[in-house]
Amino acid sequence: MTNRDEGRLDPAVVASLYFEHADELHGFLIGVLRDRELAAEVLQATFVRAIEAGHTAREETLKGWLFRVAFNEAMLLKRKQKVGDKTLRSVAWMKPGQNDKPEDHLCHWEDVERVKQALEKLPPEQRQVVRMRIYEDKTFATIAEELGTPLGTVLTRMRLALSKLQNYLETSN
Amino acid sequence: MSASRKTTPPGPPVVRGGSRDQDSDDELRLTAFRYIAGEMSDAESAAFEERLAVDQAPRETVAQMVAISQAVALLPAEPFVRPAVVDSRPCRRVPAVAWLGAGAVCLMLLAAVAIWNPLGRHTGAERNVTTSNDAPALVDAAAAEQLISVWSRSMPVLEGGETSSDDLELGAAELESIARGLGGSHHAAEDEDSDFSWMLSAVSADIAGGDPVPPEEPPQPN
Repeated sequence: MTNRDEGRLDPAVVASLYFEHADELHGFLIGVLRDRELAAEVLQATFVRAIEAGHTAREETLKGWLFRVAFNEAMLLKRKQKVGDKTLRSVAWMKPGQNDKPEDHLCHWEDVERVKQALEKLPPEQRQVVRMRIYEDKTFATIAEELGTPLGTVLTRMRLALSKLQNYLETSN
Repeated sequence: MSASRKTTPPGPPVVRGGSRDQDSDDELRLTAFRYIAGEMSDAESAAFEERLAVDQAPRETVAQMVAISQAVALLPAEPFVRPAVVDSRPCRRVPAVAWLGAGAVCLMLLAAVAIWNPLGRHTGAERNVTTSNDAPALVDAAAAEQLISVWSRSMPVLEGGETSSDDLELGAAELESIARGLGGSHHAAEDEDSDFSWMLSAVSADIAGGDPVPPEEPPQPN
């Protein structure tokens, strides 16, 4: 797995790791940084670190090691650039921009289609909260106010909806 | 797991239908979503990030919530506005279209009956005309012109114009005659004795300005 003589991880192993985990890692970094470009930069830096120091990780924990390195890199950048702070309390950055390319999106169109099918199976009140929170980018507090529903109820609906969406996607995959 | 419980704002108690692990997973998803959506206080974010630094499960959950959120954000508005009950049975729309089509066909048939009615008002003597064997094409063309003319006059019927209800009424014998005439129209030139031939002859004579040839003998009722 490793090229011990040079103290580096085998490039083939790194390529395999990238193929297997890059999308998920990128999603994680986007979640932490709330910035796609910065997330892509940190992803790249993470795999450079993997080439240089991946041999120090045990094989069975390589994925966890990658995530930990990525998180540390992201937090370093976050502290340095003050990204992901209160000014980014929004999911608007999730929505595609005019200049976005298809490869900029984490999810593939098949995933979008699966999410669409999963959404259609949700109870209307849960679908409504998902729509208002993600699609209309309203805060939970605003949603509760507009619906005249307690905040806890809105959060419960969102929690159930996320759980169903996740389970549906895992099942359909 | 305790970190996720700390960061979740007070709400209604969790419905205890599933296992504790399931509840914890649900809670973690909501916590991760609130983290990526920036819906946490600084203290909550810091607590969750401490957990992210050491625990792989919340890291992967964050990635999953980002993927779901982005997929939802990429959706068109359609799945949000369509009611679930309709979505689950999209095929039911086909019979509705079929019924509409059937209704349209019925309306067209009724309109055809209404259009043919003026021709059907000829007397029995007028019906019993014979046509010339050497001019079937002229008769057909003339009949077509006559039909167009009748159609134009009958349009108020279809458009709800003022028309006497008597204009739309046909006797059973007339309906039967029309049905026979329509069914045998393709063979009118060959079969001078068909019920439709009298109609074509009458139209032809009307266009030529002459009187229709009187019948040699009355028609035999079917």
